[in-house]
Amino acid sequence: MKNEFYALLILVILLPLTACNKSEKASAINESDYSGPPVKNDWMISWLSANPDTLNPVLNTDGYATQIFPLVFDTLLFWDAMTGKPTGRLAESWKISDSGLEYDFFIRKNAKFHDGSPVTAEDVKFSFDLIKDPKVDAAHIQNYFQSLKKVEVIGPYQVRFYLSESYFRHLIMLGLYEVLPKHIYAKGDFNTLPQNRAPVGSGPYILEKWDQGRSIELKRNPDYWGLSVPEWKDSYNFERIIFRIIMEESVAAMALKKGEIDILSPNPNQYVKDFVGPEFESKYYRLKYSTPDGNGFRFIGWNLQRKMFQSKKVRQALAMLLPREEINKKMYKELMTLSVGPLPQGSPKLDPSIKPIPYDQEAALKLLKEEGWTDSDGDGLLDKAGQPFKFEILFTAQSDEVERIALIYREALRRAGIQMDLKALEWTVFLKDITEGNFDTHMMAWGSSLDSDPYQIWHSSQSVKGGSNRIHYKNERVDEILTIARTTLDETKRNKLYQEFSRILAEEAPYVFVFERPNLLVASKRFRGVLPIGVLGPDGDKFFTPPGLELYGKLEAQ
Amino acid sequence: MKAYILKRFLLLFLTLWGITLCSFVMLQLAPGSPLEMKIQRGKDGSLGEKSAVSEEVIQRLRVQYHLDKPILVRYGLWLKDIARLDFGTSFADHRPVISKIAERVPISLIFGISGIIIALLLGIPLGLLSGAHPNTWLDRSVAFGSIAFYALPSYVLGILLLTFLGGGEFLNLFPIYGIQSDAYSSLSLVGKILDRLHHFVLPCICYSLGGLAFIAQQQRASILDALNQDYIRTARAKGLPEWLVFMKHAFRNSLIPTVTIVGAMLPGILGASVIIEVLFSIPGLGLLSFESLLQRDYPTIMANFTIGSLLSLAGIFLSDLLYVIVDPRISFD
Repeated sequence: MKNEFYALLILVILLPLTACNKSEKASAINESDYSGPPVKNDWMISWLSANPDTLNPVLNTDGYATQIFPLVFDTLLFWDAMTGKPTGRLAESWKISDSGLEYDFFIRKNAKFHDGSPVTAEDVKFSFDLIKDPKVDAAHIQNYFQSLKKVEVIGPYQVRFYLSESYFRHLIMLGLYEVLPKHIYAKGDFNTLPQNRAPVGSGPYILEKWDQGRSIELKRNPDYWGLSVPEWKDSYNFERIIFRIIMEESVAAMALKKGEIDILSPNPNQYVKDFVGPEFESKYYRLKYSTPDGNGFRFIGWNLQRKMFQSKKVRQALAMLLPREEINKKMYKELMTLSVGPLPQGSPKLDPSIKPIPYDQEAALKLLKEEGWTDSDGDGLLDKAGQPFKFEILFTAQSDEVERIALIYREALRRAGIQMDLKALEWTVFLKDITEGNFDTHMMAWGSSLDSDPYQIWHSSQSVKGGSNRIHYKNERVDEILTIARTTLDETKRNKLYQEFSRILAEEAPYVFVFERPNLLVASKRFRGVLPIGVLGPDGDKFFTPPGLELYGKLEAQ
Repeated sequence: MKAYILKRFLLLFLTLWGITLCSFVMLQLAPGSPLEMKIQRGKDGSLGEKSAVSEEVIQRLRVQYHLDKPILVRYGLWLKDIARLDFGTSFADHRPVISKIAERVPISLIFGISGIIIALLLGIPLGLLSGAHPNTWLDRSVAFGSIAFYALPSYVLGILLLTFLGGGEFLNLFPIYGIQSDAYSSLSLVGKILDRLHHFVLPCICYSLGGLAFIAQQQRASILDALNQDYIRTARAKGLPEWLVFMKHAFRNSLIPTVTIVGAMLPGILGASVIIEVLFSIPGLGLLSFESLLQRDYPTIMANFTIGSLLSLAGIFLSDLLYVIVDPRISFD
């Protein structure tokens, strides 16, 4: 109350002062397309929500540096944002043996690291060998690369990978791994190298300055070898790319509106609350786009070792009791898409006939009754064999978004005679509890990746400690599908298998699939090349500023 | 006096040892482990594809980080390193803890010290002013203002300041994040100082307001107390002018309790305010300890604890010594 009063007081005092602020310069943005050559001296300023631990791609676990790595380092391949297809980066071409167990990559002979030395097969082998080196602190990817048996240098520009099994994601795993210069990173203890804070790669940008906790500044690599490749001639149009580290979301939003940040991927809350209005949209692109594998999804996962959640009908009923339409309206202004499975609607891996489960208390109660859950003692709670229907939901105390969903769900369950207690935990404690199976149900989100593989979450072999099948889901047909799909390199056949898998999941309802996490982007309209959006989203490498609209380069020229 | 100082000094180390032992044990007993956290934490509250880990990997890491040994053995090892002033290396990024702390100390120090100085410079006169005119309109408004600002969480105050004075939608007077602007390195010396000051204004207001209100109220109470003493009556009786009575007799005596408070505020200099640091994106010590707690980065947390407790103890020690200086009646002999 008191705080509101002060807010009001300050507002009243300041209101007259703000009038003079309105006469800001009119924005110089016109929507007309520009097709000439891009200006090369502008800067792009982006947002990071935390200071990364390290800028070594092998050691980094916190994920904050993932935007920076592709600019400083090159990978063997990249997936073209426009077409969604694999394209050679360091690799000129590649070849997969018929068995699917050997991958050969042929490295471009003109590829060079920032210090001018050539990128060779030795560097590639060195980079991949780091994963298996017990002295390297890379436990987070060791499991991921378990099937990689050996890397062999065939010639100075040819490298061969031996894998223990055939798997459709191997090309992605090998192709999107950063290549480090051996002659720099092989010196001394890899975990404590000075280069972990001053990376040296072969990419289009060079680290200029890392101001701890404040900003990371990249400068264009003037000798980037990739500029000789015709397709990339018009890429990398910014003289500098600066990542501002601002920990508080609302401050980042203010900074964007003040023009001190040019581009950021907002969370849904910011997108519908902070970044709205005609004035905002006249200055910024405000984009929501879909990609084949989406941006992950939020879910409520039942611990299937608990007896009350072992019945399919009970789980279906619990899914019907989550008022997702209401939540979407109240919290997200209907921005979100109701999720029907682990992949976004419209994905070729998802059976298009699956429809979202609507909120329906009556149908839910009917299903529960069929399973023997009724209010036999008249205390307002459903019960079965003398046991009341009550359980606890765990979630992380990180964002109030999750808590608000849980509160609305609790209320809806209460109306149906089910008691759900909320338990907000700190990340570390939450992880420990769900890893040890110490929960009734939990709410969290899965991220997504390029051509994601549901094996890790849904195969029964993954329900061991440390595995990701934390709800202990087990279905023989699902196990079979997931195992076959892994070795099916033909995409059409694989998608067919995954469609069947998605139907089984929809029927069995082991998770309540809550919302798809949308891909969101807010970017200054001074940039061109943001539209059209490609299969995998906008292609940041091709953004540019047309002449006359550049903000920063001019400053330098003076 | 010397004997007293020596005794206090020894006690200080004993207390410090007790504190570190307790915090070490409590820390290790807290649920969660740095290893799982390191491997599985997601950037935005989601888990990623690579997050699965095998038990053997975890076990191997446990050995590597000495987490397989009993707590007391680990404490012994830690103590041995500390005795050589070695705080170990961070679990999070393998850097020596001491250099992580060293790069943040100046930042926290500047804000912490200037916060206290501003609080003292404004708080003491305000307290004197209201103490000199008790129960007047002036006194009541100072009291109201200080209690309100003391009660206002610094987070709320910070957001208000940012929104109205820096956000651009109302006023655009101050920068809203960081401690210097992009062009900092190209500025002249005067420009650099002005640029820093410009960035310091909003966070400094946040840092100092709580302390300011507290000091003002404390100073008001103690000056009122002093003014009621017999020696004041004596001073007035012998015909001293009121301002001399006030400044020479009442003021000096009323400072004693304030001095103790300053001693108690000293440990707060280094990273007392995680919230302000997060809000204004100031990479200070408070933020470091908060982050390392979330990551269960034991070496960094312990270093922070140790330095923090050392400062607290030193602060108490210092304020005890200050007593002697401001109040000649007190002596430790």
